[in-house]
Amino acid sequence: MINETTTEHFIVRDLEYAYSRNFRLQVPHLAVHRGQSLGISGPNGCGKSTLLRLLAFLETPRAGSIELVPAAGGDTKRLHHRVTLLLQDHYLLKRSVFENVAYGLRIRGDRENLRDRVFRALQDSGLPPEQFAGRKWYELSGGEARRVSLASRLILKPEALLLDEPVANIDRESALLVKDIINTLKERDNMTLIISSHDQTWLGSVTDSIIQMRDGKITGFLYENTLRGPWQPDIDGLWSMEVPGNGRIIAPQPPSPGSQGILDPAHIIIATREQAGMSAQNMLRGTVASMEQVRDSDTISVKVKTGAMTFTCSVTRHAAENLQIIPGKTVWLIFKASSIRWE
Amino acid sequence: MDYLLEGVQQGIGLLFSGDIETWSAIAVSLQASMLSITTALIIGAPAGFVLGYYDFPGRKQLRAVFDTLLALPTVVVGLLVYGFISSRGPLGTMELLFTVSGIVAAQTILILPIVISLTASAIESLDMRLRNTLITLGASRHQIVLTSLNEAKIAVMTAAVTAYGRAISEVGISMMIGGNIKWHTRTITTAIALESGKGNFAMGIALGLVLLAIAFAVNASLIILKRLSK
Repeated sequence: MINETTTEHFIVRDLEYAYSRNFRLQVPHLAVHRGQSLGISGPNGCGKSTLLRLLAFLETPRAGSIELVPAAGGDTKRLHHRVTLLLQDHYLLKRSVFENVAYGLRIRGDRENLRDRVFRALQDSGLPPEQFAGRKWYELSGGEARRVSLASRLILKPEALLLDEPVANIDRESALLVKDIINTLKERDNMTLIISSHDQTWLGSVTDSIIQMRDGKITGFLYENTLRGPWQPDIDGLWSMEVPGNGRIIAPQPPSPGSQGILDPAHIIIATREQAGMSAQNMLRGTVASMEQVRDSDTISVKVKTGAMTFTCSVTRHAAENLQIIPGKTVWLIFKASSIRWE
Repeated sequence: MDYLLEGVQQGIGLLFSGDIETWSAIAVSLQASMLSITTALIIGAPAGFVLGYYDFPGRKQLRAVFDTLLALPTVVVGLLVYGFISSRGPLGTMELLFTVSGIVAAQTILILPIVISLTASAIESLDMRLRNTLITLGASRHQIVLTSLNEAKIAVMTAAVTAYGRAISEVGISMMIGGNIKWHTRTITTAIALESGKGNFAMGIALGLVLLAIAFAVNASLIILKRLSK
C-alpha cells in the first residue's frame, strides 16, 4: 500500500493482536514518517488505543512486526526511551508535581539542570512552574493532572510522542491548550506525533493526516488539509493566513477569523516549475516529504512540506511518473482560493 | 491489687535506675528483632513484589501457602528450627542453638510470611495503570520494582510494623532456640515469663512497660511516616 521512503519512522508489517475472542486488530501495513503528525480516528472499541499501545511497545503483537527506524546517525537506545505514550487513563505517581515530571530523567541518570528542565516542561504544558511544581498529586484538577502527565513526557524529548485521547473529558480551555502544545511540538521540535481521538474535527486541527479505524482494521485515510488560520482581511474582499516561513494562503471570507479551512488534496495541483499567468490565487513552494500509494487505487498521496505546514496532495501514478516526483524534490503547490471550504 | 501497683512502681524504678539485668534483656530483644525484621524485609519485600505483580503458574497456590503461614505458631517454628540446628540436626555444625543468631534465624522464618503476604497484597492493590505509566516513561524492570514498592510504601511499612510486632512479642522461639540464658539470650518476653513465674512482678511489669513503649514507638513512627509521605 505504501512506497517506503527513507523518512519512515514507524513501519508496521502484518500486525495482528487479539485480547479476546471478540476483538482482533489487523494492520497489514502502515508507515508513519519522521516528523509526521498522524491522527487515528474511529468509534469507541475500534482499536485506536490498542494500536497506540502496540506502537508504544507496551504490548507484544501476536504476529507481524513494528519497526522503529533510527534516524541517520541517531542512537538506537531502548525503544521506551525513544517512544513514549500518554495513556488515555493517565496516572500520576504519589509524589509532587516536580518529582512526577523529573521521574523519567532521574531513572535515566540525567540530572543536569533538572530544576530548569522540569520548570520548562511545566511551562510548555501550560502550568506556571512556581505555582504547580510543589503541589502534590492529589492537589490537581483532571485537566491539570493530564498536563502534568504530558509535561513528564515532554521533558524526555522523545523521537515520537503518542497521545491517546488527549482531550477526552477535559474542558474546552484545556483542549485548546493541548492543541497549542501539539502544534508547538510539530513546528519547533519536528517530533513524530501519533494521536488518537474520536473527535475528528479536533484531530484534523492538529494532524497532517488521519487514519480511520473500525473493528480493529484501518478502513481508510482522511487526507484533507486543515488550514487553521487565523484569517485576516486581504485584497479584493479575500482573506489570508500566514504560512510560517513561506508566504500566505488566500481564501474567500471565512465565517470568523478563527475558522478552519478545509482543502481537498484533489484540488491541489503540483508543478515542478514556478507558474505565471494563472487564475489561481495560491502558489506555495515546498519540498516533497513522502509519497504513499493509496490502497487498491492508482492514486499517489504526496506530502509536501512548505514552511511549517505539510500539505497532502493527490496525483495519479501516471502524473507522479511524468513529473518525476521523488522525496526531497522542490515543487509548487497551486490551488484556487475558492477551493477552500469552511468547517 | 496493691501488689500490682507496687509492681508498676518498682518496674518504673528498675528502668530508671538502669538495672543491668533488665536492660540486658531489652538489648537482646531489640537486637534480635531488628536483625530479623531487616532480614525478612530484604528477602520478603522483593518476594512479595514478585508474588503480587507477576502472574505465573502456581502463583495462587503459593499465595494460599503464605497466607496460611501468617498464623504460624511460634512454638512450631521453634520446634522445627530446633530440629535443624540442634547438635543432631543437619545444621548442627553452625552452632546456632542458644545464640541470638539462632533466635534471629527462627524469628525471620516466623515473620517472613507476614512480610511476603502483606507486601503481595499491597502490590496487588496498586493501580493497574502504574506499570504501563512506568514503562512508557522508560523504567527498566528493577526501576519498576523499586518505584512500585515506593508507591506502595505505606502498605509495605504497615507489613513491616506488623511483622516487627510479631517478632518482638513472641516467646516460643526465644525460649526454645535462645534458651533464656541470662546476659546472653534472655529477651523481654522470656524474662517476663520467667520472672512472673518466680513471683517477681516488678521486673516483669518493667519489661512489659518497655514492650508496650516499643509497640507505641513503632506505631507512632508509622503514623509520622504516613503523614510525611503525603
